[in-house]
Formats: sequence, C-alpha cells, structure tokens
Amino acid sequence: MVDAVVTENLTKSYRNVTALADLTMRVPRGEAFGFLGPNGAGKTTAVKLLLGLASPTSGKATVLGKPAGDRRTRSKIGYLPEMFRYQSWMSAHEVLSFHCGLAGIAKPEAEVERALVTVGLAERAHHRVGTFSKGMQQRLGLGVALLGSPELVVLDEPTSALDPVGRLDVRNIIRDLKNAGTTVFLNSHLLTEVELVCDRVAMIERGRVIVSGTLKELTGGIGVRIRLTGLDGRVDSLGKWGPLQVEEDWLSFSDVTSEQVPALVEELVAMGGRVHAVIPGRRSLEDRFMELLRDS
Amino acid sequence: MTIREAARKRLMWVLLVLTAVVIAGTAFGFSKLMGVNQDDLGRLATSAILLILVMFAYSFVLALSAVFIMAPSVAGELESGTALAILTRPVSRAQMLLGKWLGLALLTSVYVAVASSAEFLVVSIVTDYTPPHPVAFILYMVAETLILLTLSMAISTRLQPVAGGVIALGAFMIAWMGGIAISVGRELNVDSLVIGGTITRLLMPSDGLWKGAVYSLEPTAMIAMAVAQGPDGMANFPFFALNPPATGFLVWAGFWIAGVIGLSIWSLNKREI
Repeated sequence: MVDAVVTENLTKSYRNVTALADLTMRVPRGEAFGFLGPNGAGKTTAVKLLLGLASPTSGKATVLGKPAGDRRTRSKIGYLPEMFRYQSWMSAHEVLSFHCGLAGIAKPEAEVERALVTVGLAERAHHRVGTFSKGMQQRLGLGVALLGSPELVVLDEPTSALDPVGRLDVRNIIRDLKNAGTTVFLNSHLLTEVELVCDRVAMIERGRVIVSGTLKELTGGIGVRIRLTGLDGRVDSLGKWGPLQVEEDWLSFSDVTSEQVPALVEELVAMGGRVHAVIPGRRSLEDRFMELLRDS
Repeated sequence: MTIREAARKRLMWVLLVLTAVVIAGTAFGFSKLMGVNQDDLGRLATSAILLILVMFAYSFVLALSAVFIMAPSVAGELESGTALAILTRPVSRAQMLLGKWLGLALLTSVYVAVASSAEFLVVSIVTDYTPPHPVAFILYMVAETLILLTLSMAISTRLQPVAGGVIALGAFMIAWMGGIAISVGRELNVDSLVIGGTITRLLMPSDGLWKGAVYSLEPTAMIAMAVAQGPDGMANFPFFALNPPATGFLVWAGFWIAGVIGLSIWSLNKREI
C-alpha cells in the first residue's frame, strides 16, 4: 500500500520569505505522525500544501497516492484546521450534516450521531455553534474531521483550546484512529502531547526539517543511572565509560548507550559492587527539541 | 444553505418588515397627493413619476443589500477560516461560489417580485394606476441586482468584506452617474459625455438595466407626450426612458454576468487560502 503522505523537496516561498524549504518526508499508513515546531516554523504551510489550499513554489507532494489537492482524494481526508470556525447560526448537528453532504456520505444521520458521541457533544447537538465555547468549537471541528471514517486525518493544533480532560479525549481518539488503521498527521507545538501518541515525528524550524525519526530514535538510548553499593568510592577506573556523576548510592553515566549497559553492569559486579537498580536514561522530546534548536 | 443562513440571521425578516413599512408610507403619501386637484393626465403623470422615484429608492436599497450580503459571504468566510474545512471537502471552489450566487440570486429575485408586486398593488388601490409592464419591471430589477451581486462576489474573492462592499457600491454609483452623463450629453449635444456614459454603461450595466425598469413603469401616454415634445421635452430627464434597452445591450448584460462569474471562479481558484 502506498504511503499516506510523500513529499519531495516541497518548498513554499512568499515573495522574499521562505515558509517551507525542501521538505522531504514519508508518512506510512496507519501511523500517528507528529509534525513539530515552534510558532511560525512552517507547519501549517506544509498542511495547506498537502491539502491543496496553497500551491508549492517547487517540489511535489502526494497524499494517499494522488497529487496533493486531488479532489477525489479529499473524500478520504478529514481535516481540523488551526483556525477552527464553523457557521455560528447552525447547530452542531447541522454543521456535521452539512459536511456529510459535502463529503457525499451515504448515511449521514448515523455518522453525525457517531461523531457527536465521539467528541462529547451529543448533549449540545441542537444548540447553535454561536453559543459554544472555544473548546466546544474545537471538539466540533474534530467531529467534522472524523466524519466518514477517513483514511487520513490531519489535525492542526487539535488541543490548543482544550482543557486537560479534552486533551486526554483527543489522545484517546488518536489512539483509536491508529488502532483502526487510520493515518494521523498531527501538527503541534505541544511536544508533551505529541510524545504521548505519535509513532514518528519530524521537527521543523524556520521552514526546514532539522530532524526526523521514531520517538525512540530521538529520545531514548542514551545514559543510565545505577544504584550501587559495595564499591566504597572506588570509581576512578570507570572513566572509560564517559562522564560520571556520583550522588550517594547512585552512579549516573550520561553517555552510555543501551547496548553498553550489560557490559557496564558486569564490570561493576566484577569490581565487587552490588547492583540494586538500573534505570535507562531518557530525554523528553522537549529536551531533545531544545537541544536541536540550540545546535541549529 | 445560503437562503437558510439569511433566514436564520433574521436579515430577510428585517428587510420584509422595513419593506412593509415603506409600502405603507408610500401608500399614505400617494393618497395625500391624489387629493390635489388635477386632470386625469396630470394624475397619471404624477402617479407614474412618483412610482419611478419610489422604485429608484428601492433599487438603491436592493443594491446595498446585495453588496453587503454577498461581500461577507465569501470574503468573511475566507478571513474567518470557516471556508477552510469546506474547501478540503471534495467540492470545487467553483461549486462553492456558484452555490452562494444561486442562493442569493433566488433570494433577491423572490424579494424583488414580492416587494414590487405589493407596491404596485397598493399604488393601484390608492391611485387607480398600474404600470404598463410590471413583469418586465421585476425582470429588469432582478437583472440589475444580479449585476451588483456578481460584482460583489468577484471582489470578495480577493478583498476584505467592507472594502469589497464599498468598491461595488462605488461602481454602482459611477454607473448611475454614467447614465446621467448620457442624458446631459444628449440634452447639451456634448458627444464626449454621451460616449463616456455609454462606455461606463457597458463596463457596469446596472444603470442601463435600471433604465429598462423605468421604461416599464411609464404609461404609454407619457412616452407619446415625450416623443411629441422632442429633445426639448423630458426625453433626457434622468428618471425617464424614451426607449427600452436594446436587445444587444441585454445580451451584453447576460454575457457580463457570466463573464464576471467566470472571473470570480478563476480568482478564487488562484487564491492561496
């Protein structure tokens, strides 16, 4: 099966400003892909190019095997914009029914009910959108994006207006989508949220991708903390394992990889140490991102 | 959906209530004027001219309504982001624009028909005068409103709602002044004014269609009197039309509407959202 999203040197410039430069990436089907970056990095520009709302300056993109913006493909894509606005004079039910009509969904009534329940708006179905809070409007937008069980769901900052309960609901929805084989393309600057649901991420800054990979590749596998007794301060010979920090019974090795941990533990035991705990080191996505920003 | 939106926003109801108030007011005015001592021809001319003036006011209100309903409908949705979720559905931008145009065209057509018919009925009851071609009048007014609607839609694919509305209304006023220029030019034999006014009328056909609406309201006796008076009479009076618009002009107006709709679609297709 073709990848959900493929871009090749996708570039977008507005007069003298390069909003996106040489974006090359693949999003396999069924994955939750996080597209991360600070404000103004080019995330929303990339989304608009993928959805045909804007045209690239150069490069190309395919979505679900067809050129980006292809009209037939749009029936298989759900989209929650960063600027989520819906007709204030309509009720939530009417907005969803309207979008069912636009999408050509065969049984709109059942689909509307399902979407309302999924996003927690069933009790406000017949209330006007104009009376909704920002968070409720964002939930409605998520419901609109989920109509018709799309193959690809593009969420642009889907939790920006939601409280912690709402954010948990969105994470659960994304997990359910993944389990159903739906590809999720998640645009966000909330790295903690992305870390909890995404399989793979790309980080973008000033229009350029600075790193991409799985979460494990980006955050895991470096450093280890070991609780050890019995060495009585005899740590001088451990310098070959890289920088070492000693805090009471804890030894922190910041440069040891996960592959080296067994050998390190073996040496500590051979030295007469008694190992009580081994905790692999892990950086948060936020830490990794800040590190990359500093380097770039 | 466009019609439902107008109804929900109470715009239609406000317009209908205001129209009813205006019709009642004009009925009162006409009834007072009919009390003035005049012969039959005088009464006929008075009724016809007053009706033309009342309908001119209507045409201005229609122009305002058309412009300020259409302009935010497209530009407002693009600006607010409401259009984002719609444009990523499997509908073309052309379908979105045409849907709005058709909905508003239908709404304004029904309004023009109902309001004009009500006014004619009231005037007929009060003054015993019925314009000779009421259906033609309605068609001309609908066409004039469609010109404004279409121009507003084209501008709103690029400019913000208020700017678009102001420009469309400005074009409407310039077209009206072009019609005045033709009348004055003919009266004073200044060809450049006639040519300038004609070019303006072709670029913005609303006033030419308004002249057709005026002709539809004129009693045959009044037209005959104007013909008899020749150039020194009321032939070049701005609120009078000696002849209906030429068939060629009406065909041009149809092509104009189609062409500007095509331009709107092209403009929106090229626009980055």
